[in-house]
Amino acid sequence: MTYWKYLIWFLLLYFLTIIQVSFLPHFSIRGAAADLIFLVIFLGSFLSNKKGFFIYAMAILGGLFLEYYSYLPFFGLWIITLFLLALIIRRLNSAMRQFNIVSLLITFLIAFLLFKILPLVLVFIFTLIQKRTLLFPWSFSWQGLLISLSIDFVIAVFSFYLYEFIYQKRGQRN
Amino acid sequence: MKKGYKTLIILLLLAGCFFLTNRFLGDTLKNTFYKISAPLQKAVWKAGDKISDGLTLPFRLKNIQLENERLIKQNLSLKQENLNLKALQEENNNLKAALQIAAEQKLELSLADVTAKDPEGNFLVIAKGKKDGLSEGLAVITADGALVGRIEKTFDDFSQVLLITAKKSSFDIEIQDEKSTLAVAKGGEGQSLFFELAPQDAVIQNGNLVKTTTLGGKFPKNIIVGEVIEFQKAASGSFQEGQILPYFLKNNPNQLFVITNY
Repeated sequence: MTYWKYLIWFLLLYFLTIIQVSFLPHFSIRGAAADLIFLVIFLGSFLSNKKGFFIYAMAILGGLFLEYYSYLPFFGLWIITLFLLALIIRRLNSAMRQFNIVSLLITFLIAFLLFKILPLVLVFIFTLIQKRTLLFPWSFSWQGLLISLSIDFVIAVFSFYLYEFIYQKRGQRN
Repeated sequence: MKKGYKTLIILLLLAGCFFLTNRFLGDTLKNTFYKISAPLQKAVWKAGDKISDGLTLPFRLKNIQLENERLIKQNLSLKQENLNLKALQEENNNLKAALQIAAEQKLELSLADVTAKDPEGNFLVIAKGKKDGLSEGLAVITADGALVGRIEKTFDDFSQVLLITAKKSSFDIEIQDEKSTLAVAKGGEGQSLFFELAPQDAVIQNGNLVKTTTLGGKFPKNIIVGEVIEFQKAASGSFQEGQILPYFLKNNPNQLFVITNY
């Protein structure tokens, strides 16, 4: 069952990546669209109670898929970002010991900002390490960031309540 | 093995992968991934394109309407431009033809726009007059070099051109038959032109060219008038007469040339 689970998630993440890069750009608002891979990893880390390596494996896999369509000058930065993201969300979850809309909001905001800023910081660090000239353009649009934040937040909240609904029906949490 | 070691090993492996990929494999991996995903991506891209087109249509209607209005305006403007260009081209062609004639016959020409025509077809009005140096008696030709008439009256800025087909028009001509027969051309009813007083022995045929002569001093020599389309012996029996097709009637020229010097 474990292998099937990995295969299904592999395919799911793959299709979500394809949708993110080939389907959603047609519906972007001022260049901003939903970050599906980020949302999957965020929701997976936030909602799942299980301890173990699975969500980290998914984060690495999601990062790998994002890597193929990345504009960043180094290969692997999205993998590191999503991996760290999963790690941090898990830690925050444990620290807050609450599972409600407020904890979702706080965790989401931190995760989102990390997701958007961490790759840029990593680029800066790796450029310094390799003593290369920083060619990466640091163009940053607050408008795009806010739109992206809004879209991702709406999806996250919707998914959260959907999960709650299903969880209540089942009468237990994962 | 302790958990800390496990994590360390995993991290070291990841760092190794990171280093190797960035050094050697990055582009190859991306290329392979694109190759594998290309068919699916194309299909998804097309689907996204179609769906977004359908969904955004109501929002785009206003823009489409504005765009349509803009294009209609642009279309009208381009049509106008096209007309202007056609007019310029016509003028250019006329000037070229006239220049050739002028060069061949050593004529000095002045271009004038036709502004009006007498309903009975006796005269034209051209948009040049005394101020432009025109005077009564000057010959007027088309760009092809066909005789139109002569200026009968000049105003400050306009002139009246008596057409060769006008009833009161009469001038000497030369029919280009075997001997170049001299005759007199006269205007007739309904923009027709006749010739008379051609000698009996002249071998005139339909299609013979008719040109002006200097006899009578009304027109310069060798200006094409038209061609013979009908001929017969006159009632008196000593001369031949017939009808000429004036070449200037072939077109309805908007511009004419006044021969100012020859």
